[in-house]
Amino acid sequence: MTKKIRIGSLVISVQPKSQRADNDSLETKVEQLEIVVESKIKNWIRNDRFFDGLRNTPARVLLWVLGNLALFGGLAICLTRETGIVAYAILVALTVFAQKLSVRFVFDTDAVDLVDEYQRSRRDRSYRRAYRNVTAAFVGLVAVILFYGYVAFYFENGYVTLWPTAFIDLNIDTYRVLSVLIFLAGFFTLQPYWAWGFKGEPMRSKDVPND
Amino acid sequence: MSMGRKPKDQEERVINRIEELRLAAGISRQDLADAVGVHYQTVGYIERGEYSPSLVLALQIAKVLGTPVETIFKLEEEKN
Repeated sequence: MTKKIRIGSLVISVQPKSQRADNDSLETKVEQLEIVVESKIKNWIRNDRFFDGLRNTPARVLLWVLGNLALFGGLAICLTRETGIVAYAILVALTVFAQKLSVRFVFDTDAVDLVDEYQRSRRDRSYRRAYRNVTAAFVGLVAVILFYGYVAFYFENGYVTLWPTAFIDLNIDTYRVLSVLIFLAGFFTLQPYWAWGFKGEPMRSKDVPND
Repeated sequence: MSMGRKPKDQEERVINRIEELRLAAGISRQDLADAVGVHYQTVGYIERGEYSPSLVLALQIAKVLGTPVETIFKLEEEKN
């Protein structure tokens, strides 16, 4: 039972010694539990063999193909049929999670005991490649829009000038905006994972020891 | 003056005797990885010459294997 001692306006709460000992012991137990859980999670990330099927080279190629199909195919379905946006979001999230498992979460942590120097070096290279790829995608997209403008002007007038006055009308409803938003979120999130490359961990049975 | 990286076939590769010395010492890849604080796959990449370790890591590996670093790592002679 906590006792309160009042000195003027100052109130001091005093716990009996046995209760303090109980609290201290509880805090210690919680701290120990945190350490154990953290250590188990780190150990799982570093040494997991269960998801090795996602980490070898053929699996990484397959993840890349399926990821592209999910991202671009899903967007096409959502934009044309205006259906399946929830499934699309789940599919993109699953694609991202599979990639995270495949590279052992190297893009999600900076902890020295989780990401070693090889992974850090490969991760840095992936970011550089991803930046270049995104730049190229943007330039490519602008070039396609520009080309579309020239083609539209040509079909309307039968000739083309250096600076055609072609207009690109964009009619887009909220469903499609949301679909594009999911696409962009997935596209930008997946870039470093795609830039990580196809080379994966050696193919082997998960029953073979790590030696 | 040319800029950028050397072509892959002209890059100086570091070859090493880690696998030989590790097996001789009876240490598994996982044990060596744990001892120097890297992922066991990273030890594999280093052993196969696919990745050249930092100086710190090279010295740590040498310490675990009980061999001077210069006897473990050396530059592969240029092909050209």
